[in-house]
This record gives sequence, structure tokens and C-alpha cells, in this order.
Amino acid sequence: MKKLKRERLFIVPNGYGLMYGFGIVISLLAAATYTNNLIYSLSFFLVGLFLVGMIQTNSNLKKTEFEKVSFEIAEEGGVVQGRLWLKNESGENHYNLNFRFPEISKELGFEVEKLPAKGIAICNFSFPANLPGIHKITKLQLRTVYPFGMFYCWKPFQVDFNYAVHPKGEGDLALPQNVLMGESYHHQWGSGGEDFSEHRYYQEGEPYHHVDWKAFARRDRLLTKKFEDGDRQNILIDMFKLGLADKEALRQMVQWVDSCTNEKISYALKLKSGEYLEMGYGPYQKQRALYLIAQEWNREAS
Amino acid sequence: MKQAKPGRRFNLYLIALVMFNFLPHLSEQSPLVFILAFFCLIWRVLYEFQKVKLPGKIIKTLLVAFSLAMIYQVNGSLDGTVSVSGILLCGAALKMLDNVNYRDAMVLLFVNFMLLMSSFLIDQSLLLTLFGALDLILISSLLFQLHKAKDLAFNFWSMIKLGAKLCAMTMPLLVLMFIVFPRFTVGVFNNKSQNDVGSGFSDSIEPGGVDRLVLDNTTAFRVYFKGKAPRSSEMYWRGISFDTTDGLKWSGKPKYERYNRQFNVSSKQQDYSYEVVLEPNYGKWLFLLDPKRSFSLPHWRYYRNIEEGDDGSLRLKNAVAQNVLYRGSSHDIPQKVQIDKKRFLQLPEQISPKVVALAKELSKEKENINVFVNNAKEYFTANFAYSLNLPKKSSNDIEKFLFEERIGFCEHFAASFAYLARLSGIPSRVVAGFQGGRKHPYADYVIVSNRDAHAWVELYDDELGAWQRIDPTSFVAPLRIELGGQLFHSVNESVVKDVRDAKSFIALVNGTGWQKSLESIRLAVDVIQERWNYFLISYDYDQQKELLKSLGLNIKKRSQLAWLALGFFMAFLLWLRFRQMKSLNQGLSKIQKLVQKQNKSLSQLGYQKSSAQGYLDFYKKLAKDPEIRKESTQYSRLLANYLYAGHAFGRNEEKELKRIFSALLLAIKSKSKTSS
Repeated sequence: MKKLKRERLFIVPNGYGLMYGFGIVISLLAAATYTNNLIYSLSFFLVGLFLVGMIQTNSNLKKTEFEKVSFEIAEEGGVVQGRLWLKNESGENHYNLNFRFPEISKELGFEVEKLPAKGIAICNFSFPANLPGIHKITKLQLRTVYPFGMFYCWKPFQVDFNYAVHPKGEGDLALPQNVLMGESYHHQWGSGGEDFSEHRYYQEGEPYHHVDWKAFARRDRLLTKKFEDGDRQNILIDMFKLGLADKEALRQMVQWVDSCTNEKISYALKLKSGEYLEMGYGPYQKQRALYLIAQEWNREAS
Repeated sequence: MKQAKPGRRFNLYLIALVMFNFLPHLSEQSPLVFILAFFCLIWRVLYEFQKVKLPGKIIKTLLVAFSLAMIYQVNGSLDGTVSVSGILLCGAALKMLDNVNYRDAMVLLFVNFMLLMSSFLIDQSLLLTLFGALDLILISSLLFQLHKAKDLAFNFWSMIKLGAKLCAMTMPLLVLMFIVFPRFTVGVFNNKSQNDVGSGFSDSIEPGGVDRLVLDNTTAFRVYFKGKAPRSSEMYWRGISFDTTDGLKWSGKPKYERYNRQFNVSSKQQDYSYEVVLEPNYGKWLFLLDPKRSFSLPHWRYYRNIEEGDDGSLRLKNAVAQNVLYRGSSHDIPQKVQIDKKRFLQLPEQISPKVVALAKELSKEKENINVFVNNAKEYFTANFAYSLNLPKKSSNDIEKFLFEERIGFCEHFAASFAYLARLSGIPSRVVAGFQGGRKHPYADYVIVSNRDAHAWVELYDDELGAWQRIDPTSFVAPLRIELGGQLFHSVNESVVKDVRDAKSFIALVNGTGWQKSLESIRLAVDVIQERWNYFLISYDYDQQKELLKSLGLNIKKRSQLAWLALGFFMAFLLWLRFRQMKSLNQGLSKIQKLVQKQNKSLSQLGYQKSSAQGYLDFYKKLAKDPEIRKESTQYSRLLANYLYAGHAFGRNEEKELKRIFSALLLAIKSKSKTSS
């Protein structure tokens, strides 16, 4: 039998709601003291508005669903940039929502001005990136006090996603010199439009997807493609060979990744944990490299 | 959850709302309060336009101290309705200088509710009720606007519309609770009004007290007679009596005790039964048709606030500045009482021999009430004239009044008459209250106004063992008594100087056509006002029972009302919940349906929008294609207006959107034809 899934929503009066409630009590007492039917009416109006406020606050969050979230990798001490997709499955617009990740901060919340009925809102947010590593987020809370600010309504979501903060690049060691191969190396992505020129034999460290599999089928030997332009330097950044303490080594590696990206040098990454990043360059390669370094930082810390 | 700081536009609306709530207090508060508010308003507006800074803590503290001192100085205390309203008003005014963040705005909005409540304490008129309704819509609208995201459009009328809609949603609860909520009485607050809020009569009477009142035609109270009503000239509304004389000045402090509800004189005679709705600011003395027979209040708890004097007068222990309803009856049988004669024969130490001689002449040296009254009547009729326009300020010199001035009004005649009676050995006292009352031409009640304020005399009749009412003004100005004060004082004395009969007087008073029309309008407004007042004030437990009985519910206990109220409360909550679910589950809006349909057409042409992609993003992407850029941009702009900016989407807008979409489709089709 299909089990009905109930939406979990919580609502309590906040400080202003309690203040307002106190006002209702004062109003009722004044009505009773002065036997004043007009003040009784005012009291009933205030009670009515209180209840309407409660229901409306609840409505403002009802049928709101979390779709997905994405993060950009951030630098230690910098800012984590994220993007959240929210979906409104109800037939009413939702206003002034606020979401937060309790594991990141209990105070820090992000505004969503309007979530259209039956629509999606994409919200950009950012928060400080304090500690390097891969950080897991399991809780997301959506909140609102709209329309009267007297009730605080929240909806918790169980989520499972990570964001990465890589350590700050530090160190003054020079870049390793053509540690992998002494010739030009071209990669397949990031430089679309380059023309194929020749094949050469596959060497350790090269990504498998650079292998020309058709040629392999013909010649029974692994060959990689060589392209026309550029005499790019290829280096292997190997954590074992740095001879530094783990955290220092990781910071040095970040420094090199930055340098390689700026100087358009192709690089592969080898970490102590055995993680290995294939040869490549460009921003995408950098993202992958920094993510692996952040992951390695976690392992070192644990 | 931290809320955004309100913007300038919101703040300006908020301070305008605060000033709006000052309006009902114009009549009751000192001008200083409004000067302070105006000063704060100007400061705040200048701050909003970045011309000045807000005051620091020291200035704010000084302003608070100044406000409290001012309220104390003006009202003589910091408690009582007017003082508390004053403190609230000053608080709201000073808060304007403090209202910078979200919290301050919330507090100020809540203070507005309190200001409205204090207005209702002072006045319950229909006009103020309408003002209150508008005020509640404005407060709710701003409360709503404060929580709407700051960057969304600030449209005044749509804000008011939504505020009104939210207020309207509370109406079912308000009406149901008003009908069934059991009324209870508590004494949590000090419910006294300011010291001098009273009937216009103080604890003493002297020349100049009543004439000040009769210049004002404000309604003092309205009376509903059940059955027959006495003639206007027979309506003496007894308030307070004075037993100590110092010449023309009379004073007295009857001993007051908590009202004994057992008081009810049985009578076989037909009584005059009536209900009085006393206007606010007259709430100290309760005026009862003389001679009184019975008195009752709508609720037994209200008796705690009633005191009865040993002279038969009734007063509220703590005068409240709002309408008071009470019931009474009257009959002509004199009530026998034992009195301390010495108290009612008291005279000043120095008495003019001329006055003594006059008293002897009037009483023929007999302590007979009838002899004295007859002779005094002749003497007053022959020698005195009635006028409110006295040539110079009256003194307390009774000899001067009796032998030189010989012109005055009710106070002079009553005071001198009672004085002469005492000199003749007849116990006497002066009574202040109202005489007369004007039957409303369009309604079933009698209006008693300040112009009916009056003073007369009570003489103790030894033979009957009871007090007898004598009105010396009737000897001098019989028309004043016959017509009542409202008519008599409505025209200039010089105009009616030589008029001797009521008919000629009324013909003069009726005036011209437009005056009549104005009077008719005034009276019609008075009916509406009175119906509202009566409804508000008389709606109590008995009325609740009666109303529910007519609806088929027989209520026997208050607890039943409480259960009924709880039931309605729950029903209201369920109704709100039902509405909520209905509106949340409602399908797509017209625009959304149309857009979905149009997207389907686009996807058939190979332009598919992904589910995570917003409409605007999708059309922006389309606009990158130079061949359809114009149509796509045009369409996405319109869509943004209707889907997100809240623009109205009517028939014309739908036509326009469809037209532009057709153009887009055509552009796409022609593009694909060209490429193929």
C-alpha cells in the first residue's frame, strides 16, 4: 500500500507574535474594565488577524519543495558561491522566504523574494569559506514570517550534498620541470578546434580518453593523438615528491595549480591517498584538481 | 530570522499613519502633545531626506522626561484615560525619532493598535468606528508591506487592497465573537477619567457655573421612555444637591456610600420608566428623573462603581469617559425621610438685616412652607428678570442681588430662594441637574442637552415629612421651564424679550427654510449616532440571550455562551484552513496555462525548455539567435511583466501576448525554411 507522505511544517509565534498576543490580552482587559463593546470588537479583530496571519504564514511555505543546490569550489578565507533551486507546487505566489543551512551557520539566512505559483526560483547565495576540506550538508531549512511577522514557520529538508574549500596556495618551490614527458602534449578538451597532426605511443599519466581507440584496434598498441598547435609543457605534481609536511604540500600544490592554469601548462596530480588526476589544463582541470586537494585535506585532518 | 531595514517610502507611510492616529485625540489632548508630535514628524521627514541626523540618547531621554512632565502638568496625574492616551501619543511621536530598523517599525505599528484602542475609550461614535475600520486596514496593509520583500513593487493601492482583503477575512470571527463572546467585567486598570470630567457641575454651585454650560448645545444624555413620557416642563433630571450656603454660593458634600441595590420604592401608581444613555464626559453624576423611584444598571458588576449620596444623588465612583447606560423610574409620591434640620438650616455667620427682614416678610413669621412659597413667588415674579447676559460679573452678595441687581438666571434664583427659606426656618437645599428635554421628531427618544442645565430648590415639608421641589426660575421665566432650555436658549434674548407665550416663541425659533433644513439634517445625524451608541452600549448579556433566542438558541448560563464562542472560534479556524487548502491547490493561472501551451508549440519546433530552466532564461537563450531576437525579446519582456511583476493579465493583455507569440512562431518557421 502506498504510504502517504506528509509535509512537515512547523509554526510558532515569534517575539512579535507574543508581543501582539499581549496586546490582545491588554485590549480584552480594557474592554472588560470599561465595558466597552467597541474595544471588544477591536480585540476580536486582533484575534482574527492573528489567526489569519498564522494561516497565511503557513500557506507561504506550504507546497514549497527543494529542487537542487550547486556550489562552486571556494578558496580558504574566501567566499563559497552557491545556487539553490526552489519549486512552488501551490497555486499561490510565495513571498519573502528565507533559507539557511544550520550546519554552516544558525544565523546566516538567504532571502528569496518571490517564488511564483507553480514556478521555480533560482537563488544565488554565498557564505564565508572558513576551513579547507569537503564539507557535507545534510540539513536545509526554509523559513518565513510573511505576511505579518508574528509567526515563524519553517520546513526542514534532509539533503545530501557537499561543498569544497581548497586550502590557500602557499609555498615558494619552483614548478617541476617536464616531469612526465619531454615533449609537447595536447589534451582533447579545453582547446577544441585544434587539428590532429600525428600519433605517438601512450605513456604513463596520460588520460585514457586521449587514447585513439580506433588506432589501438588496428595496431594493437596504445596510441595517443597529437594535435597541431602548441608546445605545451606537461608536468606531474606529485605529493610524494614534494618532501613537505602534508598540509604544506597541499598548499604548495594549490600554488602550482594556480601557476599552471595561468601559464597554460598541462598538469597531472598525484596525491598521497592514491587519488590521481589525469593530465589536463584550463579552468575545468583546475576545479577538479582543487576539489581533490580539498578532499585530501579532509583525509589529512582526519 | 533577520528582517531587512524598511525603506524610506515605507517609513514615510508609517509616520503618516502615526499622525493619522493622532486625529481622534485632537479634542481631548493638550496642544503641547501635538506640537511635540509635529516637531518629531518634521525631524523624521528631514532625516528621511538625509538633511539631519536622528537625535542621540541624551536628547531622546530629555524628550521622554519632557513628555512625562508635560502630561503630568496638563492632567495632574499620570494615570487616568486621558493621561495614559497622552503618554501613548507622546511615545508614538518619540518613536518616530527611533524608527530605523525592522524592530522599531514593528513596535510602531503595534503602538498604532494601542492608539486606536485609546481613541475608543474616549469616543464610541459611528464616525470614530468608521475611522477605526480605515485605520485597521492601513495598519494591516503596512504590516503586510513591511514583510513583503523590499525590492518588490511598492504599489499603494494594491497594498491597501491586500490589507483590506486580510482585514475582511477577520470579519466572520469579529461578528460571531461580538454576538456570543460572554462579556465580563474586571478592574485591572484604573478606569477613572481625568479629575474634572464630570457633568459640568462641580461640588459647589455659584453664579456663573450653569450659564457657562447653557451656552453649549452639546447633548448631555438621551432618554428612552418606556410607555408614557412626562411633559418637558415636568422633566427635572436631578443630579447633585448643595446644603451649605455662603450667600449665593452653595456647596455640599453629601456622604456617599456604595449603592444599595435593595432601594426600590413600591408604588401602585404608574411610573415613568426610562433608559438613559449618558454621553462621555458627563459620567460622574447620574441624572434621574425627579422624584426617583428605582434605578438599575445593565449588569450587577457595574454596581461596584456606583455610589449613593445621603441626598439621594447617584454618582460613579470612577467617572469613565464613555457612554453609560442606566435605567430608572419615577413617580409622584413624595418619599418620606427623616432629616437633620440643623444641617439644612445652616446660614453664614454674617447675615444682612435687610435680607432677614425680607425673609420675615415672605414667611409672615410662620414656618409654613405654603405661605413662604406663595409670597416668595409673588415677590420673585414682580421684582426679578431672567437673563444670561448680566451687565457685570455677579458677586456672592445676596443683598445686592435681592435689592439692587435683581437680574439673573436659575442659579441666582435657586440660591437666593433657598437662602430666604432657611431664614424663614424652612430646611432647604439647592439642586443642580437638567430641566427639560426635547423629543426627537424622527425617533423615540428625548435629547437633554447642556442648554437644559438648571438649578432649583428643595424645601423640607414638615407635615409630609418629605422634600418638595420648588423652581423659583418658573416664577421669573415660566417660558424657560415650559419650553425647556434647548428651545429657550436657542435664540438671542433681545429677540424674544417681549414674547410671553410658548406659541409665539416657537414661531420665532423655527426660523427660515435653510435653518430648518440644517436642523433636520442635524437631527437625522443624531438618530444615526444614537442608534449606534445605544446598540454599542446596550449590547450585554441580556441582549445576547435575546438575540440568540431569536435565532433558536436558548442560552441559560454564561458558560454556554463561552462554549459557543469557543465553537465559533474553532469553526473560524477550520474555515481559514479550508480556504487555505483551496487556494493552495488551485490549478495554474490563466497566464501560466497559456505559457505552457505556447511552450508546447515551441517544443514541437525543436525548442525545448528544460524543467530547471526559468521562462526568462529560456527566451533569453532564444534571443541569441539574431533571426528571432526581436520577437523573442519582445515576448520575454511581456512574460516577465505578467508572470513575475504582477501586472494585470486581462483579455487585451492575453490578445497581445498571443499576437507576439504568433510573430515568434512565424520567425522560427521562416528561419527553418531558409536553412532547409
